[in-house]
Amino acid sequence: MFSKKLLSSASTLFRESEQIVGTRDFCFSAIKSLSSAITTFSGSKEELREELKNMVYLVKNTSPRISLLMFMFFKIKELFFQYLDENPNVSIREAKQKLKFIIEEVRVRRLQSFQKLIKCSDSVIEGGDVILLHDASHSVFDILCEAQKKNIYFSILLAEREKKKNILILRFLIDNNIDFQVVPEYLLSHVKSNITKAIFGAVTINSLHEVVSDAGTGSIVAQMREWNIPVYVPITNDKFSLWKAKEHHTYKTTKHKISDNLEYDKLSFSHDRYKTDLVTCFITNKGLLSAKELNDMYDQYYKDCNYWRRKNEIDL
Amino acid sequence: MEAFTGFIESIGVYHSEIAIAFFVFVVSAMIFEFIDKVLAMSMSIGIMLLLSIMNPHEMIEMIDFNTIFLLLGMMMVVEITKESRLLSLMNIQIVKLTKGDPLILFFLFTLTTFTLSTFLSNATTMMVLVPLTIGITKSMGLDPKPYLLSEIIFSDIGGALTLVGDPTNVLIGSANNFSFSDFILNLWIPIASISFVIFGVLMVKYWKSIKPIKKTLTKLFLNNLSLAKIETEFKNTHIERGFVITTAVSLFLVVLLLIFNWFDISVAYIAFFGGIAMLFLTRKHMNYHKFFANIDWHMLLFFIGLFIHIGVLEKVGALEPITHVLSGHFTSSFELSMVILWTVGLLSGFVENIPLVAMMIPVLQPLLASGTITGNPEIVWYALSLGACLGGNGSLIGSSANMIVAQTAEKMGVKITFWEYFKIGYPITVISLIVATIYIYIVTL
Repeated sequence: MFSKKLLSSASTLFRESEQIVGTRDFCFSAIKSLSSAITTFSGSKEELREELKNMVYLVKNTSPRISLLMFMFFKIKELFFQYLDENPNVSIREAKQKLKFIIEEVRVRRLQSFQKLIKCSDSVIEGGDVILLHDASHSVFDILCEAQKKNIYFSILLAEREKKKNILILRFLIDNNIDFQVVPEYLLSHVKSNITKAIFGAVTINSLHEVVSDAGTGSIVAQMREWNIPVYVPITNDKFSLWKAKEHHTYKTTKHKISDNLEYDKLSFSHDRYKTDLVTCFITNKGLLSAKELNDMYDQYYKDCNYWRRKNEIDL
Repeated sequence: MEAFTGFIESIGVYHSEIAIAFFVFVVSAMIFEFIDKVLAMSMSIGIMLLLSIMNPHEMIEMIDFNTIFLLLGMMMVVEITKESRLLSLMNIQIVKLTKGDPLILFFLFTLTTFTLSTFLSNATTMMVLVPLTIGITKSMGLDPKPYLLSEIIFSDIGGALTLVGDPTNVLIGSANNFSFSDFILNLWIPIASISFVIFGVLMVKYWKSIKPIKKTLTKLFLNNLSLAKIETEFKNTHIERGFVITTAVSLFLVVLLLIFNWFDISVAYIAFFGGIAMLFLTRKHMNYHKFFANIDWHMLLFFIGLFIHIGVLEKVGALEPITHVLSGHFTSSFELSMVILWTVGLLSGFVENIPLVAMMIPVLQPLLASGTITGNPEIVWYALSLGACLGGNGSLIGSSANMIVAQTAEKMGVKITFWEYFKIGYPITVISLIVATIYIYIVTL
């Protein structure tokens, strides 16, 4: 259906966009782009139907797959096709209007889901907390902003990592006047007694009951558990992955050269994975959950989505 | 000492041959790059001073400081504009207008390149546009090459329109006291015609890559998503509003002064003092160390060296034979314009056009002043300008901006080979020169 080149370009675009703005905002940006594309689209109703099917195929086949994006596109397609089946005589103009309305509905529902998560995070941050941050998760940023609005004083200890990610986090902290200190991520043992809790973002939860997160998070989470520092991870259930996870990690090998005679291969991983058991508490749109409660919720959700997977041909 | 003085006196009869030899040495250094061209010039100048082919006073008088100050002024203006990110901000707004349509993207990028090239150096224009072009087109799954090739071509065409658009125009304008508006008034018709024709040619050639995609939802979606990503990336970079506004306002004033010259002062002074004024107004935002490091002193020294070499050739009478040949064979401004247009135009694709133009100026000036050429003599200068600027499209080595595009694109994974560009660039140069010929013919009727 699509050339390898187009799929590869799309994958790169999705991955880079997600890295810049986070999963949630990227997905919202994606459906906003879909809405703009529909405005410009000048084909017939049948062509629109076919094109929407192609769109779903595209988001299913990019690498890595983004479950929230897939979920939103599947929902949009389902609702729109249902509308077309119930109203076969609508004009293309009406069909486009309805499709844009559906997209907005799906967006609002997902937004409400995130807002519920923020509400459930009420009791997580307490006055005087020194919170360890490592990734530029927008869900985490929103939780911190919410606590700030309630005049809860806290400060941040930033586990320093690669420059690109650091800049995003630092910009957030400075723009929001949040007190912070920076420590290299490999020297946290020197400051462990100062940390009251750690909050990390998550890309998804997979069928192996693992949290998929930014590269490097896994080892820090393990350290926190070793030192009995509570670990919190915010995630909504629509970010749960809908397919069976692979046991192995995907990586690429890149060549690095320090000098003329010093060259080496380096393994680069796009994400990290660690067991949900390492997390003290998951902040979700369904409330604060322990690892076991989250795993049970995931298993039920995965089973409920059998219908989705069959209908959308996702590997079981 | 006496032996050395005697030696100097004895080679006095060979001054012309020595000056030509050094000029050939310098031009060879430019073409074959076996040694840095400014170093080659410095060596030649040093030896010529030693051999008393010229003295230091004569050397200083040979330098056209008007041109140097104009170039320096424009470099300062461009550097401040680049530093303020005004160009990047402008480009992002333009990209948003395309709404992801490849044809509109092609048109707007071409138009932006053309417009920026009229006021800024082609090299600066390309350094800003190329990464943006490749970033956007690749994210949209488009082939960047049609867009890049169009930008290369239109940067040279746009540069031909104004006094400051190309270094060769700076040389021609300074030598003849042509104002900013003189260039625009005399060249807008041929440049507009050439732009129209060449854009049509490029559209036909690359139609498959740039045709509208209004029936392909996936591509529209990806294009819009790419635009959203670019906008977000840009928003995440730090822009100082005050810096951008100050730069935009002062740049606008400098450009207005250059075009209309209400105070009737040298364009070089406007550019130079405009640059100084902009530097002062933006002093809170500028890192002066970085600013002065980014001025292309190498290019300024190159021009100084070039003026000295041409001045020496003039002094020793090495250019007179060329003047005699031209005056002997051509009597009308149309005939002379044709020779200049096509010779310079076809050569500029392979040879540095700046020394070519610099050499032609002292050849043409006495010829046109002698009254032996009938018709409007000014048209000959515009033919020289058109030949030099349009000829730069002939090959990838035709201008430094072309090389910058190829090198930057290669670093970003887009390889444009010499032959790939030549197959489109040279025919386009010929078409451009044909259109210019028609214009000159009509004007000289």
